[in-house]
Amino acid sequence: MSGLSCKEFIDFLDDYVAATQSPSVRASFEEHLAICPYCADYLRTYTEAVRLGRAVLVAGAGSVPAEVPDELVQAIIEASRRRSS
Amino acid sequence: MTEVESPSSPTRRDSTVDETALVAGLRAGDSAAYTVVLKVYGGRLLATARRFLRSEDDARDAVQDALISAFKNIASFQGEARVATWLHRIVVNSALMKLRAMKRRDEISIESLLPTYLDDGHRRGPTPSWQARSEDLLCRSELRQQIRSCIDRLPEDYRNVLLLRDIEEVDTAHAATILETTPGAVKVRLHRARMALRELLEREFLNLE
Repeated sequence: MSGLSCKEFIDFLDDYVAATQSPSVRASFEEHLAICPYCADYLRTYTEAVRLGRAVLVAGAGSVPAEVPDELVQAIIEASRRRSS
Repeated sequence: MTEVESPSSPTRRDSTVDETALVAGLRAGDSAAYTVVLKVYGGRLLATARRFLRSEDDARDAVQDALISAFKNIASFQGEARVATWLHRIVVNSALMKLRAMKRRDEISIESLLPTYLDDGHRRGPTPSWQARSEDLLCRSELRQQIRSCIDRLPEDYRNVLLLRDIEEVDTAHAATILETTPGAVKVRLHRARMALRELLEREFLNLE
């Protein structure tokens, strides 16, 4: 194994994914990735978890309703009218 | 892959709105301006509230409270952000206030969802591979629901950070302000939330095999 342990790799995985590390630190992460299939798999599934969460909650079919239900529209408008009058 | 709109940013549809006229209408208490807000931004705001709150009634209440508050406090809107961004922040705050007021559920410990290591700091064994099947999984509504359920099982503090940063795309500094914590704590919680979600998905998908 390289100088970097799996724990050190995973503890700072978010920085690696965000590409915010210095070139030398990033190189040590790349070195670890090249020889550690466990961490390579962990990296793949970590980024996949973020992608799936986003896909389901943001891009999922029907996640954004075409319009707000009428009763909610009326309730908001009525309450706001009362406040402003 | 389809283009994904950022929930907190203005969309092309928003660009058709004359924001100066809209804000002037809201300041004048004009019902037509309220209706424009609900028609143009309402759907996306309700979708945001639904992501934070588990029941439809709570999500609607959060949007109602948020918009009534926004209309009431329209004088405080200085135009330094787009109307869409301003309203998004108010709805997020309203949803989080609602969550804080609710009784906490029995939560799974975050520690039980984080990776474990041998004494030398290396991993115990291989990570089972479930990535290749996930594209197929996403096409099935039952499984989309299971992914949603994994997110909902995250401990509240971690789930909120994940929703704010990865889904709503609120930046670290603003997320820290909303959650009344430090940017450093947001960063740590986000990483832990992602690791916990990864673990929950792995357990879910491997049970499906």
